[in-house]
Amino acid sequence: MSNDSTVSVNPKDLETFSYDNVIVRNFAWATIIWGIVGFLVGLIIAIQMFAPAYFPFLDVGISYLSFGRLRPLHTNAVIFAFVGNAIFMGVYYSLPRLAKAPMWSILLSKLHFWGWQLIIVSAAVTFPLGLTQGKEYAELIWPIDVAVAVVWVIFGINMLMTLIKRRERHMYVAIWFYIASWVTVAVLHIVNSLVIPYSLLSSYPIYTGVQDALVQWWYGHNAVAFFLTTPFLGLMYYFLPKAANRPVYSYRLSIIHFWSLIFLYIWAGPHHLLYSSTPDWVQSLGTVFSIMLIAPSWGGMINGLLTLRGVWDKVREDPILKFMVVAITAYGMAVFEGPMLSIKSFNALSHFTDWTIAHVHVGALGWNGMLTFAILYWIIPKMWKTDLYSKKLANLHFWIGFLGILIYAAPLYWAGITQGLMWKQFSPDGFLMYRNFLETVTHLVPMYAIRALGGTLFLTGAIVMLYNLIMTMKRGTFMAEETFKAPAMVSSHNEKVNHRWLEGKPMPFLIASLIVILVGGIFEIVPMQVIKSNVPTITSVKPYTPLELHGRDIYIREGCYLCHSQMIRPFRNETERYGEYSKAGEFVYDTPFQWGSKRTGPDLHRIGGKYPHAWHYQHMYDPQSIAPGSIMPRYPWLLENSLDTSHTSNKIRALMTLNFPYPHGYDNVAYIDVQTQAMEIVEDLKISGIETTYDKEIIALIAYLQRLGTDIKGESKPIFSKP
Amino acid sequence: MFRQIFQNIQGIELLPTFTLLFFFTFFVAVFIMAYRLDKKFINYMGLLPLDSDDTLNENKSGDENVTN
Ligand code: HEC
Repeated sequence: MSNDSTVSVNPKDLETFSYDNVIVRNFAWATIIWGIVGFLVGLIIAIQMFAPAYFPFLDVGISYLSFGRLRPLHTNAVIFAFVGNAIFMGVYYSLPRLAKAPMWSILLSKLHFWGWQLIIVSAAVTFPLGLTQGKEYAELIWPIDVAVAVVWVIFGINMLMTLIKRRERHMYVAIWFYIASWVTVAVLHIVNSLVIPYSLLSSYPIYTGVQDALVQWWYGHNAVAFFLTTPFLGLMYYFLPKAANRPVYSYRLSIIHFWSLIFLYIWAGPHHLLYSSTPDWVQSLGTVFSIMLIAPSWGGMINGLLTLRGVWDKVREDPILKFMVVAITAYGMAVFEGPMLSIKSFNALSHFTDWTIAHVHVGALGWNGMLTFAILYWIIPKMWKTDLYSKKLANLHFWIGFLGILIYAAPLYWAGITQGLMWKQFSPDGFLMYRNFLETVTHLVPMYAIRALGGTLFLTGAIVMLYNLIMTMKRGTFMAEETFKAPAMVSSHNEKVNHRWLEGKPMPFLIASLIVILVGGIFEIVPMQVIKSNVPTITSVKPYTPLELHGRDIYIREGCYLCHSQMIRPFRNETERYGEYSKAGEFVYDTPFQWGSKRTGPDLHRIGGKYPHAWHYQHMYDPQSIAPGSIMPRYPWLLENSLDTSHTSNKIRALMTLNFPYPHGYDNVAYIDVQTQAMEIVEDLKISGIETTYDKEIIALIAYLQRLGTDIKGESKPIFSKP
Repeated sequence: MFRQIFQNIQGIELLPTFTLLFFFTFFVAVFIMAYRLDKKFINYMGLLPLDSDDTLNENKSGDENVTN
């Protein structure tokens, strides 16, 4: 067949150029190392979730190792360090080869690589120190956020310029996924990271309450979509045909897959906020689009699996293909489950439970993990011009990895369903069956232990891979450059228009995908920001006092939101357990919002006034002394540390720029109120026999907890000194 | 600008329905576009990752793996 897109060329017209393998190798190393680090931190926090109950001595009470500080380290390491570096490894390998042109600038490649690793290292330092923005998967503090934006732009320029200088006229579908992912992540990151800094390291988001929640989950959901999914689909469309040595099953399907996926994904964010204080129309939007997402997602999965039709015998032998099959199947399962969890009646049971954690790990371990391993096993022997050191070890890795995923996910599904049901259980005489939340927790502790076993297996598999790949490198020789020849790109006047469609033009293509994702974003976000009626005001709701604000920042620093929600849903079992359901108007002075996504501990939205100060003092010092069997970490340092009040006025000033109704000039006198309110709490503690001083962090935290959810009861009357 | 537009929408609740129709149109358009693409072109595109390691595109023809 003579293809009208192929031009027959005179060998003299061929241009010689070479692909840079060094950058690919560097990203591959980063993927492996950060992957192992990310899994390891995951294992540590998994152990922390059952250790206090089984091995109290493991709970050492060191702030830097506290669950709430390590959990963001785990999630960010896996998402941005492991998966991120894997994306870059795959892009820097496949993009030049598909474009028949080297990466545009080796300098930019290097800046990208080292910039990204620097960001990861600074994350690994700041999170244990408690420096966080308190929004899930967007925890990095604002200076690091700026660095992320800069490095991302560097990556984008390098990618686009490579495409502009390419020799292959047509852009293969993998490249479409790369471009769309790049542009969408840029938009998401910038919009969700808009903050008002109040110090060199700290800031408040410009959004509050319901708005902040909506922006955050628009971001959070699409970080899953455009960081964990679409770039990996691009990798799948390149490396699967490579590994199977056959073209993708249907290229037409891949086109439909691409456009409908990026169109639909961006709308589905509100499915993280079902039954919360967001307007109904937003929630329906989330549900409808989530369910529709099954179609393109499964289109992609089917396209991947059918690519292997006719070579299933090869799959049985080749560990790389095995990894890929499990990855694609895990993708198919996760994207079926996701829409199910977006159906309100499912969500009512699953939300806030460990079901969500099981769901994300099927995606992260199965889809991202297994596909990354497959690519590494394929790419390393290729670049070292040798064969894999041991197929046996790769098979071993496959099986323990696969088993690890099962042993991870199964107990958490069970835990999620059990806990969901226990929360809702009423006794025949109309009372909550498990009135004491802790009962539902201790019930799950054995499941948490088994989960950690699954994680151990998965981590072990990765270490086996590390060994196998090192031995592979040792037996081969690394080709720093691969030289190729290809004709220059000829102009395409004589082609039929539909051939050239968008896929031949990187910039218009980028703009088209930008428009597609902006449509969804704008319809979802803008009405929320501008329509007053979406958040009915409640006059008794007032801003936090400066002391409470400090306490709130401690709550954020310690990552309490990673175990506690502040969102009572309008179900009888929740209002019975926690009190009046949460109203949108109650959160107007919450920045960042702290609704949480998982209830390892009970909801705290109406904790204010539930217990005396002394209870909290003792409970924070040692939860088990009050709630035997509790798996909440101890926070002894809060009783020791002095409250840092050096930014009191900066904080108030930052919030005043958001129009929080503090009296004019209040920023200058706020420090007085910090002391007055703290003294009251110290006096009260004294009556209960607890001696402490007003400048301790615990005092601020107690002030915050006691304020929570009390405004609508008209009980709290914060007094703001006149300047 | 958006403020006026959105505040004047009486039934913001209709937004999901409206967007559903919008997507449906989009989907049909993409579908038609994809199916009107030339078969040769589709084959060529599908093979891109496979011969990107080669210097010349000579082995594009007569591949029995080609679908569509
Ligand atoms: C690892 C998960 C975890 C983290 C992190 C965590 N908690 Fe808890 N929390 C729990 C569990 C489980 C309970 C229930 C048992 C108990 O009372 O100790 C609980 C209970 C509570 C209670 C009592 C709620 C009630 O209604 O009885 C308060 C208050 C509380 N936590 C505050 C905090 C604060 C403040 C932080 C952050 C400094 C925090 N928790 C961090 C798991 C956690």
